[in-house]
Order: sequence, then C-alpha cells, then structure tokens
Amino acid sequence: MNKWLSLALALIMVLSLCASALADDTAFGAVDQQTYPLTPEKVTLTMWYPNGGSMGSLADFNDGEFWQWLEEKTNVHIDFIVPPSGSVTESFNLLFAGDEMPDIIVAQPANQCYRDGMDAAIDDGYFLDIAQHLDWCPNYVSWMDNLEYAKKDCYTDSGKMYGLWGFWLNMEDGYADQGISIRKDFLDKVGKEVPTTYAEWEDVLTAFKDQLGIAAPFYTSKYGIDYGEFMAGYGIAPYWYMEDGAIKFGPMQDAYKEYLTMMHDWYEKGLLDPDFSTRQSTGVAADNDMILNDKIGALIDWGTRMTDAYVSRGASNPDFWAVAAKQPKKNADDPDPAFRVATNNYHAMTNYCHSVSADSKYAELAVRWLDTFYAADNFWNANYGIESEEGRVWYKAEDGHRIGNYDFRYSNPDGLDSATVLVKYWSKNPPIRVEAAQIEQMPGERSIAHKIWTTYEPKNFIPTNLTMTVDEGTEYSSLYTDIQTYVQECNVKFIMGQMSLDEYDAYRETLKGMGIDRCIELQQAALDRYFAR
Amino acid sequence: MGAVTQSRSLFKSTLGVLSVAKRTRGQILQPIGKKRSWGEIVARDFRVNWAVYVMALPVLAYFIIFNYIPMTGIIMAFQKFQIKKGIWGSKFVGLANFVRFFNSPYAWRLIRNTLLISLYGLAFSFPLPVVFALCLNEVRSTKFKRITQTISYMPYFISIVVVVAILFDFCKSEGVLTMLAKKFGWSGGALISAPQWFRTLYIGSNIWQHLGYNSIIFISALAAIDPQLYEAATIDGANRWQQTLHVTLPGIATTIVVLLILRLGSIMGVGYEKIILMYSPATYETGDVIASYVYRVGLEDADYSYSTAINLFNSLVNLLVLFLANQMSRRISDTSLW
Repeated sequence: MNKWLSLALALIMVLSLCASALADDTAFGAVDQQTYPLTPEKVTLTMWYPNGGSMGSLADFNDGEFWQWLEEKTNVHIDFIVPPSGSVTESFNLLFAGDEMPDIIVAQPANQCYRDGMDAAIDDGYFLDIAQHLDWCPNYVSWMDNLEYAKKDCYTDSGKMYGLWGFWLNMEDGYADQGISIRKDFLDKVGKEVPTTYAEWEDVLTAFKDQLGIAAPFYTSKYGIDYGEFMAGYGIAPYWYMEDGAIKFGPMQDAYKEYLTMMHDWYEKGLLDPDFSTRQSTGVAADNDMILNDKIGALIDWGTRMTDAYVSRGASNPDFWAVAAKQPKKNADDPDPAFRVATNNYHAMTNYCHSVSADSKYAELAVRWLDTFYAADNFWNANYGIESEEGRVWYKAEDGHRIGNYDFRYSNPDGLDSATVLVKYWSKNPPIRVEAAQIEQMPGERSIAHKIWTTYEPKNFIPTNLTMTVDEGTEYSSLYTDIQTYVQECNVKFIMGQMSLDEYDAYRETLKGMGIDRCIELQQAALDRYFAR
Repeated sequence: MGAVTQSRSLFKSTLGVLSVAKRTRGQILQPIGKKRSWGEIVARDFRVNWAVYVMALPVLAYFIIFNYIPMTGIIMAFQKFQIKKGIWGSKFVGLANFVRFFNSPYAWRLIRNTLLISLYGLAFSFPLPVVFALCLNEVRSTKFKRITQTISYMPYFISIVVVVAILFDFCKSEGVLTMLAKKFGWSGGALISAPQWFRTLYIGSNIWQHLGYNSIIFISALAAIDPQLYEAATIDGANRWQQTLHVTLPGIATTIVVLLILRLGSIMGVGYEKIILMYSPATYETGDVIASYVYRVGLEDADYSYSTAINLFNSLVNLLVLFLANQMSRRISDTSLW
C-alpha cells in the first residue's frame, strides 16, 4: 500500500515536472507546433488587410520578402484585399453585405466591428468561433495559456472567440509609441527647458510664437483634442475611460471644461494652430509639410520621428531636433499624469484581431496559417526581417537576440524610404509584435521617447474586448453616433470661441438629452460583465 | 460662324433622329381600311421600327436594373434591418425610423442646411450659365469665343478633391481669400473654418467649376434659333439688347424652364462627396447636410434602416417639389416635363 502510494506520488511528481517543463518550453510559441508545409498543394487564401496607408511604394504586399518566405514555408499564397486607407470602416461594413467574405479578416474591433457585436458575428454565421477549434491553433493557445488576463481578454461574454487576437511580446501593460514631441532646437533658441507643467507650456509656446514666429506653436488634431496625451494632467480622457471600475465620459467632467477653457485661451493667444479644425489629422501628426517647414513647435508624434528623423524626410532646417515630453501636469509637485485612453492596448493586447470566415472552404488552413504567426520563428522574422537577411536588415546583439539595422531602414542603400523598407522586409502590424523591434534599433535619444511616454496606469483603460448584446449594441450606436459628432463639433466651437464656455452646462444638458446617461449605463454593464468573466 | 452653323446642325440632327421615328410611324399607321387591334398595331409597328425598339432596350434595361430593382430596398426603411436576416427576414417596425429621425437633434439642422445650400445654389448657379451663354453669343470673334469657352470648361474636368484642396489653400488663415476678406473687414480667422462662409464657398466653387460646362446646353439652344428672326428684328429696328430680349430669350425659354424643373426636382439632393471633403467639426453647423449624414450613419455606422428612412424622406420631398414645379410651369408657360 505504502509502496504503491509512494510510487503514485512519485509518478505524479514526475508527470507534473514534465508538464511544467513542457509548458516552459512551448510557452509563447517557443516551439512551433504546426507542421510544414501546411498544405501539400498550393492554396490561395484571400485576406482583408487594412494597411493600405502603409504600403510605401510597394504595389502588392506579396512583393515583400517576409511574405514570400512565409508562402514558401506554408505553401499558402495570400491574395491581399487592401481597402483604401480613408474608407476602412466603410469597406469593412460592406464585407457583410457582399457575397464573398474573404478567408481571413484583419481588423481592430475597437474601430471596425460587426455592427451587432462580436457574438452576433459568430451566431449569424460570418466568423468562425475560434474557441471551437483551439486544436487548430496550438501556438496561439500557448500564448493564451500563459497570459494572465487572456481568458478575459480573448473570449466574449458568452465564451466565444471572434478571432485570434494580437499580442505584444514581453509586455503586460503596453507601451506608448506616440506622445508629445517638442522641438529641442527651438527650445535652445529661446533658452528654455522641456516644459512639464501647463504654465511652463504656455510660457514656452508663447516664446515660440513671439520670438521665433512659429505659425502653430502647438499643433493638435482637427477635433482640437488628441488621444488624451495633452489633457492627461487634468485627470480626464477625450471620450471613454475608466476610474475604479466605473465608466466615465470625458466631456461630462468638470475638468474637461477647465481643459477647454485653457485651450480656448491658448487659441485666442495664437498658441494653437489657427487652422487646426481644417487639418486632416485625427490625432497624430499628419501635416508633414508644416512639420518639415518649421511651422510647428510641438505636436503629438510617433516615437520613430524623434531627434533628427525629419531631416532625412526632407526638413528644410538641418538643425531639426525633436524630443519627447511627458504629459503635462497642473502643478510642479503633482505626480506624472497617466496616459488614460485605450487607443493602443490593454494588458498585452495589440487591439488587432484576426478573424476567419465561417464559410471559408479552407477555414482550418486559414486558422493554421494565422497560428504560424504565434510561433517564435515566424514572429521574429515578421518583426525584424527573415533569417537570411542577418547582417543586412538585422543583426544579432551580444546576447543573441535580434536588433533591426537602423541605417538599413532609415538610410536605405537602395534609396527606399523607411515606410517601404518596413513592408518590403518586415510585416506591418503582425499578430505578435515585438516592442523592441521599434525601440532598440533607435540611436540614443530617440529610444528614450517611449520610456518618457510610457507612464501608463492601466487601470484607466477600458478593456479592448467589451461585448454588448445585439439590442444593447443597436441602442448604443444609435445614441452614440450623434453624441460623438456633437462632442467633436462642440470641442472645436468651444476652443475657437464660436460657443462660449458659459454655455458648458447647457451643453452637458444637451448631451443628457441625447442619451449620454444611457450610453454610460450600457458601457458600464458591458464592463461589469467583462470583470465577471 | 462656321462653328455655330455646325453645332446648330448637330443639334437639329439630334432632334431629327427623334422625330424621324415619329414620322415613319405616323405614315405606316395610317388606317388603311379595317380597324386593327392594339396588339396588331404594336406587332406591326415593331416590324417596321424594330431598330428604334432595339435602341431603346439598353436604356430600359438600365432603368430597370439600376433604378427599379434597387427600389425594393426601400422596405428597409420600415424595418429594423439586420444583414443576416435580409430584407425578408428583418423585423417590421413601421415608421419607427422616421420618428427617430424627426426626434433626433440634427433633423431640423440637416433639412435646413440641405434646403439652404440647394436654394442658394439655385439662385446663383442656375442663372449664371444662361448669362454666360448669352454673353458668348454676342461675341463676334470666333477665336476669342472658342478660347473663352474652352477655358471655362476646364475646371469641370478637375477632380473635386483637387478643387477642395485649392479651396482649403485659398481659405486657410493666411490664404489669399481670407486675406482679401480681412481687407473688407472680416475678423473671424480662416474662412474655411467659419460656418458663415461655408455656403458661399461651396456654391462659389461650384459656380467656378461648372459655369462653362453647364452653359453648353444653352449655347446649343441659342444656335438653334432661326437667324431669320434676327434679320426680321433688325429690319424692324431692334437694337442688340432688344434682340436679346425679344428673340434670343424667348428662343431658349423652353430649355431654361425644362432645366429649371429638373433642377428643382433635386432640390434636396445636395451630394455628399464635396460636403464631406469640405466640412469639419467647426462647420457642421451650416455644412452638414442630409446626404453627408446618411453617409455617416449608413456607410460608416452600418445603420442601414435608419439611413434608408432618411434618404426616402429626402426623395419624397424631391418628388413633391418636382411635381409642384412641373404643375406650376404647365400653368404659367405651357412648358412641362409631362
């Protein structure tokens, strides 16, 4: 008896040891569990791939080395369906109205989602419920099993899976690849430091305007607000955010009025771009002409554009030098404000979801093909360039991990621009993204930008994957569409002075009349269900 | 002179094609003896004029395929349409979508903006091509006339995107037009982001772009006026102004009236393309029209029932105005579409 028991115990120990060892080995796609080629005969899959704005000078993504490598490995040819970059949402909606759903659909559900919700997309027979086919995607499962919040973040309220979600490598709380950028060379000319409080900002922007004659000392989006970087110090976000598990709507807060009051004041003083409302930008730098010709003092920009990046992009001023600035705060002794709005990620989610058509003849193949992206082999290649490009597109660091070749990307020997290099040798927004791919290769000060901006406080994010029921979703969008338009319109009017800030209370009453309280309720219910998953 | 005669004969021959069919039919169908049944008449007519029928076929097909079949989609306006269930399976909700529109905070503003842009457009951009055609008609030098005409057509072939980009450039806070407005006492910053200026800029650029092209039909109508009338008027001692008043204008009155009625029929039909290129949150107040709203709700938000309902309302108003205008014109001037 004792003998048997000890034997059994020993066996259990050995087994569990094996299991944990196994888990460690295969976690995060370390061991590719697909067999190649995925199909003996070449198969063509169609993929809806909304990255039209990032094609550089490539005519087809298949001209990229990474995609050619993947085709050779998997024996799957991808026919990219690229919607025009200005009408992605429109094209996405039309997918459901048409007869031919592509085999694979890549989208950011936060911006483009089936109108009746994620569950409905599966129930109505458009998308495959991946949860039923986890055996097809072992690499993806090896990620989910090892991510703390995966069960909450990857499944809907009713336990379905809308697609294969994208993840960041080695990152629980995300990072900011965009933030406030200010011209260091201007600061030096007026003899000032990078501002940290709103008062210092005003002082610096005034100096830019008065001493240097900068047309748009601070450049903002056409809605007058950014993704929340600049208003973070007021403890609010542009639209939805979360505070202690409660849903909040920015414009309903008093702090929002204070913020608009300040922006109006700055607008009157000429510290904002006088033509901001006619710009094309909806958040991050868009008007390159203005940046390149020294018309802008500070703006929201990408981390890859720091320091002298614009010089090689054609800046008229060879001394162009941009540095990252922290989100401003009200008082010097306040803590650094958190970046509050979920534009980028929640937990390790990249916000991209890769769905498969339920009607696809090759559904299993499509899932398996997507799954290859979650295997180490593939995601290293997707993020850095393929294996055989070592020494040219990327090189090995001392500890063996890959680093992108900065010079190859930004002063390409073939004369390609950086956007084209990206899609020719890498993959744009692959399912697994490696933060370091963007940052590490950056020379010196440029890489610091991300550290400066990443003052995250994830408790303020709204999770990527909230789900509403069909009825809730319909009611919410019928109310919120009008509200959003109204908020965008009034933000601009308050800042430009077409509406007086004395009318702010009346404005909030109008929002209530339009049903903002009901929208908050619906969001809150979805959030509560998320936490209850 | 040569060009004028040429275009006149072209115009006449176009009319000719239409009237030939009538004439032959008239001759063939002269009753010869016994009365024929309707079917026989049609069959016989078809045998004789089959070419004309064949020519009409594509047009008929076009209207059936692209205009009548899609009209079944109007049902969506009375449903809570869900893509999966389709037109036959979605829930019928009666007038709920219309009620929602008229209760929405934007309904009145959208209708007002649409009507105002359209009416101002009618008031300014409709008469100008007529005036332009009359002016050209008075020009003696053929070379000058041709050059002017060609130059005036040119903007028509520029893409709307480019036209709006030019407009933005001229109307930004340091743009030419803004500077000009400031000289005349304007103090509100960039014209393009001022709601007061939206309609002016929209219609003004429309006129610039379409003036020459829209005048073509009037120029050809002018060419169709019998020169003998002018000769007679000259003999009666009419000067050029009197000739314009008593010969030219009556000569093209029918064309003007028909085009006006057609134009009235699309009174609520301000297209969304140029609007969504031009407007910004700052100018929604005056720039957001039904079409741009339907675009946002329908295509971006995929709320098909609601957008269909709004558009149906829009079309009904158009139909009503068209009908009234036609009726009125028939009473006043004996010219009408039907």
